[in-house]
Amino acid sequence: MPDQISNAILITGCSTGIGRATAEHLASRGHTVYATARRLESIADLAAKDCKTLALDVTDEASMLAAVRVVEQAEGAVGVLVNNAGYAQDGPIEEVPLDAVRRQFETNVFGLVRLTQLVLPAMRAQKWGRVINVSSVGGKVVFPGGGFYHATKWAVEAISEAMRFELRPFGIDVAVIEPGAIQSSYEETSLGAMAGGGDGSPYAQFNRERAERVTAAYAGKIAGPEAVAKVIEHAATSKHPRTRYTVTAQARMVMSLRRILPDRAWDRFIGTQFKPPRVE
Amino acid sequence: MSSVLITGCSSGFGLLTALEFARNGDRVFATMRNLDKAGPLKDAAAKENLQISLLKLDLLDESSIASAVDRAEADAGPIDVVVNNAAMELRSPIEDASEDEVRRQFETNVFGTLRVIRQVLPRMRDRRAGTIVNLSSIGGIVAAPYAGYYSATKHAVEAISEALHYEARPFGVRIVVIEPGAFPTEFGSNAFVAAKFNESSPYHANAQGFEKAFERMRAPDGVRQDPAVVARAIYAAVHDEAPKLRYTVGADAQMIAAVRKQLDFEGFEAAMRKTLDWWD
Repeated sequence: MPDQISNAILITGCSTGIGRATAEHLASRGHTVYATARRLESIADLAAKDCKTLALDVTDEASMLAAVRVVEQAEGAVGVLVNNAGYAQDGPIEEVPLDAVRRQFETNVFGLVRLTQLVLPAMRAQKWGRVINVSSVGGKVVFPGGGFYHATKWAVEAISEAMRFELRPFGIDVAVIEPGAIQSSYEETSLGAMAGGGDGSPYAQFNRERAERVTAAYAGKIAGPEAVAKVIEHAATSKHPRTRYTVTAQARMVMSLRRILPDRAWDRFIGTQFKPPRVE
Repeated sequence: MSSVLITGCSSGFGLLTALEFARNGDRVFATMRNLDKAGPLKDAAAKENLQISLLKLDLLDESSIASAVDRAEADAGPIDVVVNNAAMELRSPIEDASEDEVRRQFETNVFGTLRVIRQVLPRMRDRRAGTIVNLSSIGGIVAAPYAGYYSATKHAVEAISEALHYEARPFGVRIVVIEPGAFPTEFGSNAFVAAKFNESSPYHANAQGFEKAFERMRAPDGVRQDPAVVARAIYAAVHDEAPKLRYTVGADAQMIAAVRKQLDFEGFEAAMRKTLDWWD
């Protein structure tokens, strides 16, 4: 084991969007980057961009163990863990099948926690480390029709907050990244995982309108994932990382509105953004 | 007179809430996983000459939830109010909890609550009437160290409740979230400590320091809040003429929630550290 401190960066979910942009950006800035994804072929091209690539599925213990072992053998420790892998399961609370709800928690919460647990002993041993959790503006606010996704991101916020207190004495900082709408595959993933609201469902129209709303939001001019990559670089390398980074002006506006508006006024704001279920 | 079904009535807030609704003349179905533990509720009800019906309900067992709800509706007609109170608390730093322990925590507090919601929501929606009360915690707004998983489940309950608040209201179903602070209840008996979180855990010494600091903060004069306050708050929230989604109960919880709303994230954390006088 090398006796200097490792600041090698391990990133999950690098096949698209924020994960991919972050891996490319950090590697181009000279950092040691282990880019990972469920399917190695989906990140094969990142190897030509100075990333080391590994297969890593956050729902598969053996795959996580193997990836962490590779990094620890080469570097001594994962210095910076970027927990980015995740997706959005949309649909009304009443109707998303319990199996789909569980899968949402498996990836976004349990997978994140388990991978973090696996890297912590070596991080603690070198008394330095960073855990960077990619949450969402949706980890602080809730939009109708996305309750389970929000539940997982709210859970990640809580876990990050507890971890920050728990890990500080070991020299490990924890940062949460809260992006707003970012051009990435989120839209496809989210609408692909839309559940409930089938024929005859009381939420059929509600679901359709939400899908249109999401599509419209992503059709506009929105920030690219590079904006998030830069913020993650700050969290990974700055001497004093912030506890939370909200990315995009729109996300910051939504967060301030949530803080400033009384609850009922906030409800009305949500009502202007999302049409409620229609009742005959 | 309303028909009210409450989960987790063998002790704590559940027991007190069953008594509170019964005192106000409502038809109360007090449920618990194990009816052998009904002694304290039976004794308390007998003392005040209150009629309370006991039903077995296991949050982990879909059919047991269905039969409790069926039974209550057969006896007293439609259920007007459901109070989702049953919950467990895992005490562990994020690193020390086993996969099993994490799953148990979410299975009860999140998926169990969801199972009850899904049993009663379609019935309430059909009738265009009903109130679902979800017991969260101040831990649903802020996370404490060594209780990160518990906080994560309560954060998830908050998000699910908020989505439901938008989705179910057009159908005449009201959602209420109760956020109690720290109250001395027998809730401790529903707490379980992660097996690895013992004297040999690297977190042990820091956790003991935190425990003392927390105790100092919440009971500076050794005065503890009366948990019956929470039961009364639940009853009042259900009958509130200016209905809100969230009700924060207890001086400590109200103080923490207010500080949280006023300050940005770094500021809040600095304030909590200062109040707790516990850091590094």
